[in-house]
Amino acid sequence: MLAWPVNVIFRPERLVSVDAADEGRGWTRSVAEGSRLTAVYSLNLILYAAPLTLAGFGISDGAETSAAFLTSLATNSAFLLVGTLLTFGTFHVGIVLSGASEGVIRSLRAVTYSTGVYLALAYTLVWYVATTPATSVAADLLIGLQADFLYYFIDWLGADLQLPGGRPEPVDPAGLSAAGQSALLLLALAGLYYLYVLYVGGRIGHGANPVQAGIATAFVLVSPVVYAVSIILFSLYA
Amino acid sequence: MTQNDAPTTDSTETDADNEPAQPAAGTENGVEAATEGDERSSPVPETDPDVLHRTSPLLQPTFALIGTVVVLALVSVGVVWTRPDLVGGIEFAELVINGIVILAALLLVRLGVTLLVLWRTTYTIHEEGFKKEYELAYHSKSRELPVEQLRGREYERGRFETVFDCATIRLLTGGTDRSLGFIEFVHIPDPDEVGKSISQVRKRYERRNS
Repeated sequence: MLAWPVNVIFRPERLVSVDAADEGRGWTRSVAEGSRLTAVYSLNLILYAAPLTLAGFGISDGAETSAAFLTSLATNSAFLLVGTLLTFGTFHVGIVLSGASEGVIRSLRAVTYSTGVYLALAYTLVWYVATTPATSVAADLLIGLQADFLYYFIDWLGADLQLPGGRPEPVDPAGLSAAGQSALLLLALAGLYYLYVLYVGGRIGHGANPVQAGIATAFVLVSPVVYAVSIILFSLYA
Repeated sequence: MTQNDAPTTDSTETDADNEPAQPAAGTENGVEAATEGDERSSPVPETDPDVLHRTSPLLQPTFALIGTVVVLALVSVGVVWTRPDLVGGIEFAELVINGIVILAALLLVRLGVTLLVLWRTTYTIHEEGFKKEYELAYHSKSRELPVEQLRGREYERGRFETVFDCATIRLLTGGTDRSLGFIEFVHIPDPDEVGKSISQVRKRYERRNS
């Protein structure tokens, strides 16, 4: 248990290395390993979503019943769950297409830890930045970054679309507070760890060579592009 | 962030495919004499007749890796410092430089611990199997692979290992991955001698059980 935080910070590849004792030999072992990973992920999901919900995030005013709490817990978990499913889908497709796949369970292991730990941290940081007055410039920078990303593809496709609030004004980063700067820094590091764990999950878990693992990781990186283009096309033609 | 260097040479062979083992050069009755002036390779205590070979990892590849991390971090910081426009201005440059420094510090801590562990690690090949052990700051750990569990071995020589003339040998069991079911002799300065001793132990085991 003490080794876990050390692994998270210093040796993330340990998180995705498979013990021979846990190795999927037949359906029984695979189901056992899949269940264990699901349990680990669920615990991480609750650790991520519970503080948000307890802080009142996603709970409508006046609703203080346990049902309202559970509903908002499920809603808050859903964001990370969607992120996990997108990561899992794109990563596994990438690893299959690169010809290195050794089974779904190994992808599940890589994705469980990359999203359950590092993506959850990234989401928490985004939530912190968005809700803390001291980090408002950092929040504006993040919103501007997202809008610029979407507008890049809107312009590229020549679509006549506007995001709610229009094109954001350029944000002057000189106003970044120390807290905002630290949050952005941690966010960048969480992103790097998230991608690194996926890469190393391909290398160790699937025995992929650097190119194959790179392809699988690139597939995950491409997923926001696919998402952006999809919603633009959906808005145009649906 | 991985501990091992990028491999340039990598081969796996099953032990059953090995040539009949010959006693290693410079050995007598399968027990090697310690090489004078090379303390980290093959210093076998003659008091233990079961030990065929004992060796310790070379530290130079890890030192080289540490040097590489420091140089890369300094170069990256230098580039961002002199050309902040590359990352979107001076405010972002500060952010990126902090990120580089944190990542480099994490890597250096990790490599420092690796270095300490390697410094205190010994690999032993004896009649009954293969052992890796280290003792550091009142903490000791050993892992032993019985010879009857040996299914194959993997030889790897990374770039830094090529430069410093050493290699890594993994002894594999029935497990298909490299976690619980293998033992790793990292950065050993005498891979050929180790390979011969492994074959020798395996051969003797088969002879005893035939």
